[in-house]
Amino acid sequence: MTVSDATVESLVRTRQMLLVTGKGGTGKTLVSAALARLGAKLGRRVFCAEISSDPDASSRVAEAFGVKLSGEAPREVAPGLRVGMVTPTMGHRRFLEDVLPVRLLADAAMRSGALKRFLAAAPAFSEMGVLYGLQELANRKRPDEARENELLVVDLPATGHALALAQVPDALIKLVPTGPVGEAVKEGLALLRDPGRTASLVVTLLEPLPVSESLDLVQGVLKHGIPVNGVIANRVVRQNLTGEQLSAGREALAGLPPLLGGRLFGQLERSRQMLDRLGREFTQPLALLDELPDRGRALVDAAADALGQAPLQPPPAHMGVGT
Amino acid sequence: MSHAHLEKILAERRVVVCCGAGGVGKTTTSAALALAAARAGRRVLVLTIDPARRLAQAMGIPENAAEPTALSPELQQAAGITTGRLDAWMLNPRVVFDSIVHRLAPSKEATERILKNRIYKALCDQVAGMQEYTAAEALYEFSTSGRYDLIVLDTPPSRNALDFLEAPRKISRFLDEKVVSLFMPSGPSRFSIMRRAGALIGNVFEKVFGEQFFRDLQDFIGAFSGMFVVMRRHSEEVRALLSSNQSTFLLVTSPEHAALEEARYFRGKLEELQLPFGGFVLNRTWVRAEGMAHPSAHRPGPEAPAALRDAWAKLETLAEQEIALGQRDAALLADLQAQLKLGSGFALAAPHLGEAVSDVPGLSRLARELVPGLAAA
Repeated sequence: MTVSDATVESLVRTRQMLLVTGKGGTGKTLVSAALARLGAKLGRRVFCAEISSDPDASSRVAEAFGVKLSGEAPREVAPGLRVGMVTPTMGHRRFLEDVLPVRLLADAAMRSGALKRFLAAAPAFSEMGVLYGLQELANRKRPDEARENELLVVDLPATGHALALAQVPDALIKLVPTGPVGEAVKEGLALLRDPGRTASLVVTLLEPLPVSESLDLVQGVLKHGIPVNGVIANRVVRQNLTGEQLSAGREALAGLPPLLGGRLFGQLERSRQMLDRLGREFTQPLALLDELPDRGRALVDAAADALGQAPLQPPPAHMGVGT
Repeated sequence: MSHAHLEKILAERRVVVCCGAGGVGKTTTSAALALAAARAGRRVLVLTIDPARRLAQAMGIPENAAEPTALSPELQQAAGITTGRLDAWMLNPRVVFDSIVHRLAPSKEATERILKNRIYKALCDQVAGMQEYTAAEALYEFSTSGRYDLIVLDTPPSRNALDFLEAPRKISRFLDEKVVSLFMPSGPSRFSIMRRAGALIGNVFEKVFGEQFFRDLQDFIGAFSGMFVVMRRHSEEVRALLSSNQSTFLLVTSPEHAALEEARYFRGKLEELQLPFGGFVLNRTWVRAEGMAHPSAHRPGPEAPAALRDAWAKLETLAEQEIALGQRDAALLADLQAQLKLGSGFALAAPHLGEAVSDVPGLSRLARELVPGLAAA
């Protein structure tokens, strides 16, 4: 990690691709939307991509911006910011167009359907299609040779599927070492593994299960040589209680029947413990995103502003923040 | 009334499928419902096709088991399971595939040929998407084995959840005999047009994937071809079982806006696929607070340490927040109930248990909240 990566903003400013993942329900989509918004506010041309196996599903990133969007055509949701879906089929189509030298052959192959169906049915190939689609978005040039998407923010699927996606390139290279598929995958992998071009962030909540899963996720992603630049703890409730006050409260509560407010009090305590745990068990830097009262577009804007100011530091630096 | 509805489902159905967004407590809900049914005397398997490791951790079973593992006798006892039983398994694609090959390959040679094929090996090592492909076969195997009265299926988070229903159909669409014959090394097709098409496909595949892969693929498909028919029949039977009144789909959600949207999405998806909807489980709500006193009733006096008085002031604010959240969740529950069509399905709220459910006593507690009639102490 270089010094310039000490803030979330520096990642958004300098990278070509930002991968966002985390356990389901941690707010990956909001964080992706906010990072994309931040990128656009910094003046970059941003594409926020969402991965879906179903081209008819409606985009949740677009929903975060209060816009309805389904289908493969991207849509501008804010100045300099487009949102779009990446589906395996889309990637396959681009791939075939790019690699088959004889147009007629490609057309015939697609018409016969066998190749299309093979690519759709063979498991690793659907991830390969996604990877190819992302690569294409990241590399696409405008007529003036500038990159069409200066920053690509990718809202990855939840843990299991994100890990699977990370694993696919290695598996495919083993299986199809030569030919255009092998080449495409190698190129995709080179992009994913280039710390100068790609950064990834894991979103978590300050709750035991999401923190455990984030730990697995960080290790799994690193195992495949993809850089993990930080963990974003989402929906942090700043507590204005000292450790002494917390333990006094806990002791008093223990001697009484369950009281209203007791469960939320427990949550505050747990999030403090989880912050400690992140400090002990993670070596990745951490950024905090507060629980925000806003809704819809206003929420994305508020989160973008908050992330724009968030330091990305080793967890111990956060100890005692607001506590 | 809703509880009774869910209790009846757990007592009578053969398959219960839990769907929902990530982070809503789907895995714990599945395990808690399975536990309650086992308490009621049924032989239950809870099967997760979520690649995350939650279920194993919560139930104290090994993570990469080759077959369903029974809850340890101590834990069964702690959970109050006597005549019934509770097994859990995290779907392992390799095991399911190997079992398909051993059962269905026409000869010993064919078995060996498949197990040694490079593509086969790569597919089995691949986590991506394989859960979906093998889930239907696993469901077929367990639902016809006679070992279980009830299978509770915990699906992957979010929109991938129903892929396992479509995956066999996708594969069978690709593998219809006509297409397979295109890949057959000698092209057993009787029609010259098919042979020509075969040559074209071969040409394209060699260009795209390289020669080696195409040969491996031909070999793989050649060896597997006799088994496709059976696999397809199995997946059709599973589909029929899941569409029948022996199965129920439950939609699990939390009070989060996005999770509720997801539940609504699934409700539509079930209707589209003509799958039986059972009801909504609204998890982690703040609805039930009866019997809980307000902390102001226990406010420490001025003689108490300052730390405690400050903590209490905060607690009183939090109590107000819990009351507000309870009102919000009651409205959400009413909204879900209003979405039910007359006489079909239920919507019930499970309370926020204060901490994450991560072990068998926690699952028992959740089970008591969801189906008190089956899981009462």
